[in-house]
Amino acid sequence: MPVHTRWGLHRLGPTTAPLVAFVVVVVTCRPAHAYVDPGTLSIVLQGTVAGIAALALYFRARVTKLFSIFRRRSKCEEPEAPGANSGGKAESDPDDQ
Amino acid sequence: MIDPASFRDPAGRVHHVDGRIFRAVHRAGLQDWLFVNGSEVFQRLVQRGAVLGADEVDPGVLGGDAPTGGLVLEHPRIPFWSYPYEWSFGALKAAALAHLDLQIELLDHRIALSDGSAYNVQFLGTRPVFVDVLSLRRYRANEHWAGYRQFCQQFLYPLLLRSKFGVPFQDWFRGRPEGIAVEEVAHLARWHHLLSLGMLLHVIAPGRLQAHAGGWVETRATRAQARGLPMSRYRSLLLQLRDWIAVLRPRAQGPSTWQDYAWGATYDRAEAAAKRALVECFARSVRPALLLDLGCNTGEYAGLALRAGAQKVVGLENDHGALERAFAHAHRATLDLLPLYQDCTDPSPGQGWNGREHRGLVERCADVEAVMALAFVHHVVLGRNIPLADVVRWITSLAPCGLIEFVPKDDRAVQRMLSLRDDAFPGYSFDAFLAALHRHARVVAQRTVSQSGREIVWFVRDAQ
Repeated sequence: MPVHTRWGLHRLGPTTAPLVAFVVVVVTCRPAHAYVDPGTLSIVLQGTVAGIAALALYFRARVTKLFSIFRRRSKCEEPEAPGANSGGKAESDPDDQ
Repeated sequence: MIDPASFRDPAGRVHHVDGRIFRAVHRAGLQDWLFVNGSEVFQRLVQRGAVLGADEVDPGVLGGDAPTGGLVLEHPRIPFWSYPYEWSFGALKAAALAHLDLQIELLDHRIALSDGSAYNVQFLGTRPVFVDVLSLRRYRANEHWAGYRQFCQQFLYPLLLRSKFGVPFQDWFRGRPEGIAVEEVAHLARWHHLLSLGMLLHVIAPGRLQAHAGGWVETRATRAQARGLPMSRYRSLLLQLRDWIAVLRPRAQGPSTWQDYAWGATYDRAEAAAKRALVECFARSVRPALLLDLGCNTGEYAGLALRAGAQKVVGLENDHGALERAFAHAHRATLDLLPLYQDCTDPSPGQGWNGREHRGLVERCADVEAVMALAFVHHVVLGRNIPLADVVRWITSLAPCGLIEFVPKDDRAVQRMLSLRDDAFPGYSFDAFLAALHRHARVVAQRTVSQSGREIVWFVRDAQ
């Protein structure tokens, strides 16, 4: 049984529960004074890290989609000001520091 | 000669023969190489310049070192080899994004990378190019990302040091060529970093578990290995890292000493024009294939030299603000300028295994055809107490010809440097400089470029 289910955290929802369980485990773990090979740890964590990353990407895509609907609606409702630039603002140079 | 850094990969070795670069593909790596080389995506990446090209040649070029049952490839030569601990934040970020983009594109065609090493990326100008073609291999169903930890240590954590904590990564990284350890970065994290998903997933969690986890990790690892990582999750991990790294910015540390240095600071308009004219004349006459600019600042004079005839410039600078601006300027203007972090009084040494895995700076300057040291000597002599004659000898040893600017004691910049300390440099004079120069080179041209008496000398080194 996954940790978050065992602790009843699954009631928090499908995204929050594993994340909260992850934070709790990370914050509450105690020194074990044992050698842990970093490569081995990387394998153990990768599944969880990649899973949370996938969820984060999924929800961000949904939120972006939702915002784009509202943006489209508000654009339709607002009459375009005469002479307004419809091209949007120029993208900034990502490497311009 | 086998490249001293090429000993880890059982799939092959890099050989240097008469200035040409060959890669022996051993039997262990042959099948993967044939699969990768036969793929349409690999050829596309080579054409686009994201991956270094590799042409199959007659194995006889390696003589007795030719691999049995393998083949030999030839790579185009990288004009100047650099290491991630010498790159600016902007350069390391560009390399990290290029590495992830490459992986994402390759994964879609069932090709994976066997490691996540930043040393497998080199720069052509400000464009990163992936050089280790034998790191590419056929994707195995449900495999984990083998290079995840290495990618974090050599790309992500150095970037985070600067971005989240304001600590320049270069010196730390040079002290740990294998990369910054997760425990060290996690130790710097504060509670508010728990609110950052990226920090939580890639730094705090592995850092705490590394320090606190016990023997259960071995059991979990065996289970995780057996379970595998679905390709969709593998891809998500790459995408999430890419999105995060793309928005990282170097944390402002206030204006640095040299980033706002301008011609007008020490020159009036006419003096600046005279200096520019001499740099342009030098570059136009010599047309060096590789020019080394010591103390390149934001790359203004390097840019001039490139426009006048230099083919490629490597700039050395130890001011982080100026270095970032130089990289951004070169990138925007598509200049073939690679600015590197370097303290010239302590240039990168040979290090890694046997002290030869990562070559020292001076060793890598063998192909330099010209050197510029503009307003550089006084910083090293008066600021770091290096004897004038030693500095001149070092500069002339780097290239067969060059420009050196001498700033006299009457100059405002030198007076500022000496204002709070005793003048312990009675031998610092233009005559002493010229005498030191004449021991190694002859003077082709000499021009006074400021009212304070700044002199620029064009030298040609004596035949050795």
